[in-house]
Amino acid sequence: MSRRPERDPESVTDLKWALPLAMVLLLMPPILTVFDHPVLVAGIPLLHVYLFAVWILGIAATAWLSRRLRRATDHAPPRDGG
Amino acid sequence: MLEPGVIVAVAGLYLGGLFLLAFVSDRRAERGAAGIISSPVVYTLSLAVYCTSWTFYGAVGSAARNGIEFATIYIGPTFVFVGWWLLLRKLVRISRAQQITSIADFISARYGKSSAISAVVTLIAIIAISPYIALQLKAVATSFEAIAKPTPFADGTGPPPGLLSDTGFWVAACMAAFVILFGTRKIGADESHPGVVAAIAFESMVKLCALVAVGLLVVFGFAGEDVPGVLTGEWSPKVAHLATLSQSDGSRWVAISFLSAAAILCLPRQFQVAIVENQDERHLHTAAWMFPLYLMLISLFVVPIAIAGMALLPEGANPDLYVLTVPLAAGYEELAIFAFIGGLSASTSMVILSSIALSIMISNHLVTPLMLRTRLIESHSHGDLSRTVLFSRRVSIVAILGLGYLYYRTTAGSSGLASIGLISFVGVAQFLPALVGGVFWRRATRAGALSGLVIGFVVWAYTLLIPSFAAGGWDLAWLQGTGLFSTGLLSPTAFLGLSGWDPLVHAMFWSLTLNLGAYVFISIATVQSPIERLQSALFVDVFSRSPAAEEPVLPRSARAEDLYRLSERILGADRTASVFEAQAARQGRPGRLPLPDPQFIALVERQLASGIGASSAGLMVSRIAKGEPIAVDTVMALLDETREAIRYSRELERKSVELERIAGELRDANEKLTQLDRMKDDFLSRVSHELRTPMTSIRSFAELLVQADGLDEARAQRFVAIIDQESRRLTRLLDEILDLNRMESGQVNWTMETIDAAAVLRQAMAVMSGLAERRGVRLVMVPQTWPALVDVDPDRLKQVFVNLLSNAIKFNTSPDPEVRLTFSVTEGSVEIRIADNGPGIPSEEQGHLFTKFSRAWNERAGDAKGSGLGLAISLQIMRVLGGDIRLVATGAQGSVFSVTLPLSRRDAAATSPVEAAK
Repeated sequence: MSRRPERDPESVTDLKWALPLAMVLLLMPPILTVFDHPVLVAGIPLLHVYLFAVWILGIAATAWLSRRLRRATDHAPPRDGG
Repeated sequence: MLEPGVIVAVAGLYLGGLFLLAFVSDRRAERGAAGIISSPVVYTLSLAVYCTSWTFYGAVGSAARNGIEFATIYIGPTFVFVGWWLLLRKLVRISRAQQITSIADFISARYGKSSAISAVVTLIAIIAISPYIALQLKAVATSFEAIAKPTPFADGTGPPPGLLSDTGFWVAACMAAFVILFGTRKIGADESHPGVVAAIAFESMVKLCALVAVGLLVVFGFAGEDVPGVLTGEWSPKVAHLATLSQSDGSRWVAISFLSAAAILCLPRQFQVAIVENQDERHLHTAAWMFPLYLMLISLFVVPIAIAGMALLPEGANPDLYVLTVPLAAGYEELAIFAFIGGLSASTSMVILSSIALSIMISNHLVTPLMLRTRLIESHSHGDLSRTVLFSRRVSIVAILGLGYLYYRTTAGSSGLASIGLISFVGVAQFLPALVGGVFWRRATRAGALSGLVIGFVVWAYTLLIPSFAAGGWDLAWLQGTGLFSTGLLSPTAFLGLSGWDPLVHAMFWSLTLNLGAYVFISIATVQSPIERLQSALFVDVFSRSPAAEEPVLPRSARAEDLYRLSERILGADRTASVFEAQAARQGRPGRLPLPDPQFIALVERQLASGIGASSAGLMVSRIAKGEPIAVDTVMALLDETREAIRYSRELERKSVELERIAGELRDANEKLTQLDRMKDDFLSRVSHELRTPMTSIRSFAELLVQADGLDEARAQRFVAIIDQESRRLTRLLDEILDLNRMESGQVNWTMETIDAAAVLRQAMAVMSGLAERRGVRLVMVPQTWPALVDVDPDRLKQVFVNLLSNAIKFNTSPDPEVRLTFSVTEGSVEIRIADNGPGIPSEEQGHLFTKFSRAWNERAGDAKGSGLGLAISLQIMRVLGGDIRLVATGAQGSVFSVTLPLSRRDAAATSPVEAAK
């Protein structure tokens, strides 16, 4: 019987650097210019639709990741100093 | 249009309400009932002070001019917050540990608490922020003029009015008064302002709601009228250019995104709210997505409003005022007032926080060091410093707004709001190399940071700030044409003759490149002083230091009374008493004065730094603390000690993990040994039992023979036969044990030959056919056509087959018993399967089946007794022969044993049945 290899729970938290990097790539030329055409999608220019779609997806992914990171760091010692 | 008096009254009421909110929040915070004020939502909303009237009015103006480029201002900060784990978290952690009061304090503390650096950063900040403040003044003034005067579409091109009839002047004056009332009522124990933060958060809600309200009007309110719909229909040619990027090469897109990402860290007010006012590092978890969400929401309606403005209003209307003029033109006066309040919120929150942040920097990094150096402070050494500090802050606020107004007057507010703001962004971006480099690059030096800052600032002023004055009517043609020395190489818009760039991109590229270059190369060329080395380790390694570990401190000594007096003057009596008494209690000393060891001196210095900044605090403490002159060796030793301690604790951690692993292994091994031991005992008891059964019968029959005289011949014969049979069985058992033992220790001679495995199997079947017949078991062999040549000891292999067959026959209790033998040849090996239809092997026995210590051995054999070592011997044999023996399947339908053997290599190629079959 073959078992699915288990994922290291830590590996998800590597998104903390991969996610911002991906967002920068998606929202900068040259990838951005791929969508830079005078085409309307439901009355809205394609570029605007793309920009806001990536933006909101990035925010949602960050929110999800923050919950994961929070769970991972809640056991960490509280802040020092103060 | 609306009466100016009404507008002023509404604005006054709003600001009064704001003041009340701040007052109540401060009181609540003092009582410790911070509640909602210290929630991550309020933290996030306070970050939204980023969205000033530049956003509120200017984003729409920018969208009307350059299309979607306006969004870059909000995308840059989104990147920083989405990647908060990388940088923001570290800045917050360091600031909390070091009690940082401002960005100038942060950078100076990193580079050895240098007062030169804090002064330079403060000066750059003041100058760089002036255009930004001017922008707010311009926005409030023009929006007021637009909404209150009969000429609503003023674009500020008329002749500059006199000072007293200039709306901008009154706006600046009111703002200064408001900020002084608002932000400098008292000097805090640390530089956190819960009331201000609450007010800023409230204003963030107001401006978002106002902008969204105007946006909803534009998108849905105009749907039925003869205004072109925004969401539907074709875009008119007039606005078609907004649909795509206006700059083909995208350099402005990248540059502005980068600048805004830098600004969210480097703007003094952003540093203040995001880092200094951060109450809890965990708030970043929420702000990481909520702040980008705020930015996205506020950007959502910008383009629709711009389109509506361009469609509704006459050609010459100022696009920076569309947010106001669109509802006005559509007849929604209440909405226009709400929008005006929103814009006022955006401006006042920026002005309040910027001037508070800057005034803290001015009083901590310019005024206090100056007074310390001129010994002004010593002269009234018993006085309370906080009055002086408050006074200097109030003066600073007036000066900051004055400078902003000066810039506003000088440039006559001629450019769009966004382009004014970007001048400031490039200015504060000069902090970026020293700030980010400082927390990641251990070897960056004070000299490198200082030269980078100064060079970056000079290039910025030359390429961006001074040319902006030309718009205000200054005669700068001599400068703009060929630049200094008229060589053309130093033209402010075409350095080294590289013309054709966008001026903003040009200024950003050169100022930051030269800044970074100076920072890196001068850092490499210079050496860190001891204190720099200490501070850089504290900053860069902030995460590797455990909170419990003592931090490295300089060896110093001071009188506790002196420290107490100094602290009392800066922090006030209450806070000083609590700090000192807590330390005395920790040291277990009676009274209120603790032992002034170096650790405590460092603690006091840090507490002072929370009020007046690291460099001034360092200077003041050094006046009363005597120490050996700090040598590089001392700091090296200190750092080595801590580094050693960190390394040692890591080593310990690693070792304990290793120990745990070894302990686990030992536990496993011990368990295995115990089990083996148990099995050995079991084996011995069974062996003795097995030996005893034949022995007992031999003895009893022998006794019968000896004692009974009148034993008839026939009975005596039978007894002797039994004795003979039992002693044979005994011998066989001993033989098998010996055999197994010899085999395990490799003392058996093997006579190997190449033979057909099927032939061996047939021999074994012949041997067992008698037993099978007696038991009524059918032996079936599936015919085998190809010879499967193997290199084996035929007798031994036969022994294995006989053993398996005899088990299959003996244990088969089926009503129609059958043993089926199949023979299959795969590439390189032959497999013989012996399947019975018996009762199967109980699961608890399966694991021990092939061990000689098997619990089950012989038990199930019933009357058909075997030694029980058969399978163990078979396994040994198969291993020696290079093959294997396994239980493949077992259950109610019977058991299947499999014997595999490698085919003889000698002629495998020639006779491989697989090949032959193909």
